[in-house]
Amino acid sequence: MLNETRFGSRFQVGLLILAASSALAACGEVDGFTPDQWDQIKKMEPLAGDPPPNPFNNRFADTNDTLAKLGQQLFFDKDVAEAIKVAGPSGNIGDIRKVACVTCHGTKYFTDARPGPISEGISYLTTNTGDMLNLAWYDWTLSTGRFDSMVEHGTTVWGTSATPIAQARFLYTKYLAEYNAAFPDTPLDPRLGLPTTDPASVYPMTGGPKSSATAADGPFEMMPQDAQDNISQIRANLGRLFDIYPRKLLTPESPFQKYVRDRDFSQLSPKAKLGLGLFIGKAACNECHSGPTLADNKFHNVGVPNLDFIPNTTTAITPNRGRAGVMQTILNNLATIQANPASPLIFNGAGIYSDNPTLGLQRLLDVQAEDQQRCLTRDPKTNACTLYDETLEGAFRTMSLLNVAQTAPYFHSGTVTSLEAVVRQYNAGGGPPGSYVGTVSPKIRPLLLTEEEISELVEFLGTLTGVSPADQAAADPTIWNWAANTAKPALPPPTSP
Amino acid sequence: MIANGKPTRRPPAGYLERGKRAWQVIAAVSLLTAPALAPQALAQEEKPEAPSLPPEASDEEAPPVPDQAQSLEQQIAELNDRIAREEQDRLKSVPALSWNGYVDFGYFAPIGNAGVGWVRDSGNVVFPQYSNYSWTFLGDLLATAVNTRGEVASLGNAPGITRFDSVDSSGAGGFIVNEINLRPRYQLTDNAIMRASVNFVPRTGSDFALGDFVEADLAELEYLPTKDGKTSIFIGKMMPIFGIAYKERKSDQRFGITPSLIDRYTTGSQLGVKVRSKLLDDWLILAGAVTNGSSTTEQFHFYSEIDQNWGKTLNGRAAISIPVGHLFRNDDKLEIGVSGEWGPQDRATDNNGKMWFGGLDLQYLSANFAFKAQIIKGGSPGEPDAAQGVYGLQLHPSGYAELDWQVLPQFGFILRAAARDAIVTLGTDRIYITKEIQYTVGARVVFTPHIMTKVEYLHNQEYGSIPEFLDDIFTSSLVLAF
Repeated sequence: MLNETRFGSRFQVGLLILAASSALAACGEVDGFTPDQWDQIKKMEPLAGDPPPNPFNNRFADTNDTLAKLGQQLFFDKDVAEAIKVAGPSGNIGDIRKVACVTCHGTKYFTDARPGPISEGISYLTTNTGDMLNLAWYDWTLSTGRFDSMVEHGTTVWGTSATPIAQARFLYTKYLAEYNAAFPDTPLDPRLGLPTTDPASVYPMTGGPKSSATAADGPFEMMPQDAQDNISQIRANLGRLFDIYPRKLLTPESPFQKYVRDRDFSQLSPKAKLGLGLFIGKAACNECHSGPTLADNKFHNVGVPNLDFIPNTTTAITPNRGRAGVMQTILNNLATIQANPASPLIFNGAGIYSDNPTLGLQRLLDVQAEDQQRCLTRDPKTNACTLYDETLEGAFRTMSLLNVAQTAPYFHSGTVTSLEAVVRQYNAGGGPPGSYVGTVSPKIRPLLLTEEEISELVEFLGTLTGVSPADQAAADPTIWNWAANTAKPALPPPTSP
Repeated sequence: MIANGKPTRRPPAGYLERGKRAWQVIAAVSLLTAPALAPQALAQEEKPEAPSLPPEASDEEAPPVPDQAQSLEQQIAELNDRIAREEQDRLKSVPALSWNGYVDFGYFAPIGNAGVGWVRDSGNVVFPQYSNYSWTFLGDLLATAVNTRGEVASLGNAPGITRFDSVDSSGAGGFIVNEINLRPRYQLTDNAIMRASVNFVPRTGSDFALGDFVEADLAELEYLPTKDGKTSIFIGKMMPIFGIAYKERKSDQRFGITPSLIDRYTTGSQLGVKVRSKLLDDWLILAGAVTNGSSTTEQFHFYSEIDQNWGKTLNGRAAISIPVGHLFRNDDKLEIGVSGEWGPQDRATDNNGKMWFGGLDLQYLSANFAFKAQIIKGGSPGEPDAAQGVYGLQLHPSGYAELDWQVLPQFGFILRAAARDAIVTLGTDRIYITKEIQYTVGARVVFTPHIMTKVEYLHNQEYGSIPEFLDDIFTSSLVLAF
């Protein structure tokens, strides 16, 4: 009897231990993910926190909407476009008023769905147009990181449509009131409205700064200095517009955002949750794709094959060196600003138009240090680096994965047309060696994913699609529709000179 | 002679001498034959009776005569012969082939991190200096051991590699047959023994394939070249000689359940030739071996059973065994040893890179408790090309201290603290950074010599720059030995 009692009590203690240990085993788990896994997932919460301000463009915070709305108008307005020089989908050579920003950002998610390369004005684009949503979190823009913020980007990108002087004249003709309201301290010069035949006119119809200091002076350099400065100021202001407007374009409320932010575990299907587990586990996508836009703001060579030839021609496309290919341009800007800190032709964060030139200069100096550290061979004449190590040569900026299911084609070259193909390329450890510049990053290795796992990963990527700006406005008419074409009516056809 | 007021008969002295001698002979015979007869005697539950006096004892005054002495000596000689024959018969009655082994059944429960001993340093946030590696892992892959084999609750879902995750619990607790072990032993000759140890391990299959596997972890010949039996030569797949942990690598030998954090380096079987000898009245123990590879365990990154290189690994250990009995009990021993091994890297196809380990060990062995400690350091350069599968190792001083105390014949407990400080790399594909301290507390209950159960709790704690995460283990084991 005594033994039975002892046995019974020991048995009960044993059961208690088993039950307690089983309960402990699951402690801290969130929807089946361990605390460490959930920490990783939380770091991927889409659009977490307020969009960070652009340190180089924050003086107009109070008039943000005014500038954004002017930027929106200009974004859609094709009247700015000068004559097409290379025929493409938008028109033939000589056609005018055919191209605007929206031409290459024409989808619901502001991307270009057409596989490249495409000509939309002055040359063939050999890189796929990236999206322009949720941009506030980016440090560098474009796939190569050519610009240090959307401000510098905005001063140049309109150049695919028109020269700086043509842009200025266009603004004066069509958006004078809006512009001067947005920039009351730097209004447009009335002389921009004068025909070139007017004796008081100082502005030609088109033109811009010469391409290099050693090039011959052009129409721009022949203008009086105050006119040159006016054009530069307009460019700087356009940069602000094209920084502030895209900041309005957010895609919140994706299933994954609600899953993480609200812990609404019904937002992801079981298959998508398996994909999420792979994303932070076996596939290790979050090595680079983490943070509020699922991008690390760094550059990696992921082994994406380059484009070979211009369509229907035998013209070879120069292999894209990615970050390595723009390093010298950035360093040239640094040299210019170091030689003349007041240079009116520098629009990056270190220039005179920047709201934080100290920070801007530091970022350029960091690039210079990286150049010194990573360069393997240099051109003996120009001292430009001709070959960087694997961290820069052929490296491209990590793209956001928000809305990725809606932003095909993929990669900088736009050569991959489906998400499944993207995952397969990563699963293989990148494209075939030799099809891209440089050496693939050590972060890119064969993942050994099964077919089922590839499917699960794609399923998860589909949960990153947020509500587009157009759908936000459609759902709530009280908010401003940042996706609407608000450009003023088209100008009458130009009269022949 | 008066005793108790009554007269007694006093035997003559000569008779007493003869009687004593005869009694000594009988006692000697009894003593020598006792081991052989004891089982039967015990089986019959008969109490030994006092020997009766011989009949001639009444001839108490008779002096010994030469014939009688000669006869007695002849009888003694005959008895000695008989003893020798019976001893031989006894030895012959022991079968040359014997079997030992056990069944090890357990229940385990991972506590935290789904039973995985590592986390990934995503984006190299913690260790940016290792961003040139594809993936950086923090923690210890083998820290969440659930059984004596060292199998972990889960190896996790690591990128870029497909592993045989033998337990693969996904963090759930559950029952498990850890191992079924069979150990045949065959006495080949008077001084040669064949031994083997085979493990049957039932595991989950997949896609209609059985996951069960059989593992031979010992297949050796032991040859004793000297009559004193203190020198042995081993050939085959044998136990290593590094340190002390290998002596308790099986479930029925180990006091607790799980291996320490450094046992993976010192308890793996090795193929080759080994010599071990006890010298200086057992004060000095020397062992040396030439083997295919290192003494790492088969489930670790480094093990290579069959060499792919021509170079061989040299192994050695020297230890001093001090009978310190006076401190606690008469049979207490203190053993201090130094071990080392050096040779081509496991899995390498050339002899260029060298893998090495060096270590110190100490054990105090008493009747009912033991204190053991070991410290080890080592390294291996690895290969730059990950495809070759040759891992690199920087094992900084790591070790453990363990107290085993059998408080009662039926109950004992174990306390162990272990630390491992290591970096393991595979080309530029993977880097594992371990700074781990493991605390183990456990108990054992011995029901019979054939049945014992053990429980353990392992608390793993990261230190240094590695963020702490919960990856503890509760585990238990029921060992049925035969």
